[in-house]
Amino acid sequence: MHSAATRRRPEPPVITSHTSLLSRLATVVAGVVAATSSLARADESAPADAAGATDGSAAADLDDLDPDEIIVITGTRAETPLAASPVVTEVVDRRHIVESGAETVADALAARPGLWLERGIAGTGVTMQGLGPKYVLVLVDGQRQLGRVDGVLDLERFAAANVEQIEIVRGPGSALYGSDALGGVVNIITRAPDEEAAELTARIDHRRATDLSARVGGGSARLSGAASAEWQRGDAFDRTPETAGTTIAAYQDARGDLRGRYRGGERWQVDGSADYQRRDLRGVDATATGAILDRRNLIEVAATAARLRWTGEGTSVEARAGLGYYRDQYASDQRGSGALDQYQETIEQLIEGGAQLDRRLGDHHRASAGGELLGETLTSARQREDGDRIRGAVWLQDEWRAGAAYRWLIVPAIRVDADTQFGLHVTPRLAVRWDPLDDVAVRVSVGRGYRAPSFKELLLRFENPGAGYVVDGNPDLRPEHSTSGQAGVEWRPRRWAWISGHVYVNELRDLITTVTVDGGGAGPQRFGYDNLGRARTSGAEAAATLGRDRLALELGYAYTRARDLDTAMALDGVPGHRVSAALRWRDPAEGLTAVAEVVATGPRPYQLAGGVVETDPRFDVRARIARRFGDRLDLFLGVDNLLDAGDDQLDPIAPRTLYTGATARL
Amino acid sequence: MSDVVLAATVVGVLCALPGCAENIRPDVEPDAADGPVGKVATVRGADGIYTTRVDATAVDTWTHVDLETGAESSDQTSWDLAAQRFHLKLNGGVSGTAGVEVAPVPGALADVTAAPTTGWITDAADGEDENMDPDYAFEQGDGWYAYDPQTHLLTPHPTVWVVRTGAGAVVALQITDYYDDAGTSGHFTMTWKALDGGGS
Repeated sequence: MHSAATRRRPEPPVITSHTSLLSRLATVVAGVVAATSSLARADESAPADAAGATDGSAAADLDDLDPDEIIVITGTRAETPLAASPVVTEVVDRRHIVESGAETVADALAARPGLWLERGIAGTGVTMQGLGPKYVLVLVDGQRQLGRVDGVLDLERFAAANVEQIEIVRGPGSALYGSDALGGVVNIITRAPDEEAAELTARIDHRRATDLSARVGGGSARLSGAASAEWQRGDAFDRTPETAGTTIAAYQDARGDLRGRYRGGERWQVDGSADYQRRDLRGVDATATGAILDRRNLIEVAATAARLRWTGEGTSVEARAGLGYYRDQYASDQRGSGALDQYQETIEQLIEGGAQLDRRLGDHHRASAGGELLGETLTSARQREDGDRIRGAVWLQDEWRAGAAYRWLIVPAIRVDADTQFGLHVTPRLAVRWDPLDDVAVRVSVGRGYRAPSFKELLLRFENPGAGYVVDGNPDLRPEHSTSGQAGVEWRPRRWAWISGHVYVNELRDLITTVTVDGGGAGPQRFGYDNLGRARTSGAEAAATLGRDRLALELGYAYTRARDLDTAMALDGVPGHRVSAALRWRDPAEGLTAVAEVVATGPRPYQLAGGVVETDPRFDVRARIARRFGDRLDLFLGVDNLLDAGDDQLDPIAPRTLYTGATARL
Repeated sequence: MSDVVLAATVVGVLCALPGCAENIRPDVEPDAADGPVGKVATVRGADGIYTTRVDATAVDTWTHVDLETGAESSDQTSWDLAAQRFHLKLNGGVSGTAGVEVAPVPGALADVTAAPTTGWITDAADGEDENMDPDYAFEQGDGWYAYDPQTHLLTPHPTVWVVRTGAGAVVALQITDYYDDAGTSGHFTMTWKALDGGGS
């Protein structure tokens, strides 16, 4: 948690795989760049608040922040201006979240070219640098989240209404965060409790999906708090009406959360939070055997956390503790029979605590040291026994400023984890930043990452009574490892122009793969897990933002190559190319904002029984326009998935959706 | 102070919520629309072909079929076939004492009008394979089914199994389905007819 002024990062932009698409985009881009540059230059010479805004707050809301105004924490576990970060960090700020019309964190990240959001039976997970959802660590205010299903943490679970910014750090983060951070870290920063707000937002779409959210916050300089609540519902959607199964389940979600902050003078600060969420998902599954199953998941998620921070001269100390609870009731009711009826309850619990010391050492060093203790349990009918583990960790990091005018920033870090299941594990990282010019930053890092085996992989006992196949966990599994190299350049020649490029390679070994335990014939088999896999992902990303404040064009491209080194096959579902373009227009005088975003995703390979299948390219188009009426009311109108992309099997995304709504501030 | 009390109350309520959602376990009793409960049922068609449905869904017990009566066997001796999930065994060889054996014949049931003179097999002890099950006659060679590892679907081969029953009768039998109308696996549908005056 850190201060909550609106934060934002010049984000990554566009890109793709198809020549025809590129040519089309190039035409659009060429025209827009000219207009953008001229308007942006005009803004550069005139203060944003002189642009004709009728009130100061509205004008302020419509200004972009500079990268040195944006505070990030994820890359180094210390509050750092984005422009000074030694680690490449991408920020999706509140303005971008609101302007995109995102209802969930998954929506907010969907247009980032370097991230691939894939919806499956376990929800919508994020793939980063070619590494799937189980290799991406997702935090909320720095706290681990429960509820991974088949390794996927469903980002649809996290409502966007309460998010201040989302920080994305690519590449291994295990040197600071431990397990799961191989592909990267997504840290969801919630809105600060001292943000003065009393607002109500209602949204409805043309299929009558409804979202109501309310938030009130504020207080004194000493004590502040915020409470928010949200209720959402939507009907199931079916892309293949000729079949009984649904493509997307109906949902009814409710959540409430509290945030509080107490400041004791200049030095002490205490933050506390408590959240509760209930999700009710109902869908219909049609199996290959002809069975029709009414499926329901009733999910409860609760978390509470507290943080105590003391800040002195050149020193800060922080202690934090958190509890998490996740319960998923899964029920499946077969139509016309009771033979396949199922009920499974999964309960996960997490307790974690930690302390961190940051201290400046002379003019050249800022050292950080921390320790963490984590305990987790998982009870599931699909396991041969309940799972529990305890993990302790210590980590050290130094930010060393060196060279003439401190143009070098060298950040070594190391973390040692001790786990009751796999024992000791050491993950180092070295990040270096070099500023050869005032407007150019070069970042290079090498590091390692790891993922602890999940309880499912260790303890699963699943038997399909119909086909007779069995899947057994393996309690002797070891962690999966990665070694990674990242390098990037960022150039900001003008206040309205920002360009970056980034390359990476991740080498993975000891990957946990499914193996045949016995029975190699054509009949039903017995499967298990072992540390046999090897993979390599590599790629490049480029991004540019042209213009700011009134008009901005954001472009991005991501190329990803992900290969299984044993089979030489592409990893399932990873697109080779993604291109994005976003055009943002803001008119403070009229209180208008308009955003149009296009993301093109190249074909994705899947290994199916009949061989490798490639999906069609996907083109996502969304647009939203909003107008502010005075200080108290915003009205908005938008469309998601304008081209109605997606299919029933490999790309089950929501169809074209027209929506409207309003935000009232009291 | 009242703010603190209010905040504490709300936090307390939030902390009490987890785990309070209603239990959604489906009814233990079968749905009103659920299918019949009997394990073996046989009907005779107008063309004289019998259709037998066998519920073999139990994981740890066998359903025994007496082809003389077309019903579930009431004892452990007067049965011809038994089914447990996708496994089928004979009351012969290593599985039984009645000497039941089969001869697989490619083709359609209508094409088989007489018992073959060769090709008779019965259940044998586990041989050189990677499982520890007996080598059931119905699983020797290509076996009775084709397995799709992607969908886990079992599809019967177009094979006629000529069965010499424990009572000495000979029937030609074909497995036509492994799933019931609700899509539940472990439900065999077999069509069969008596050869040379055998059968029920």
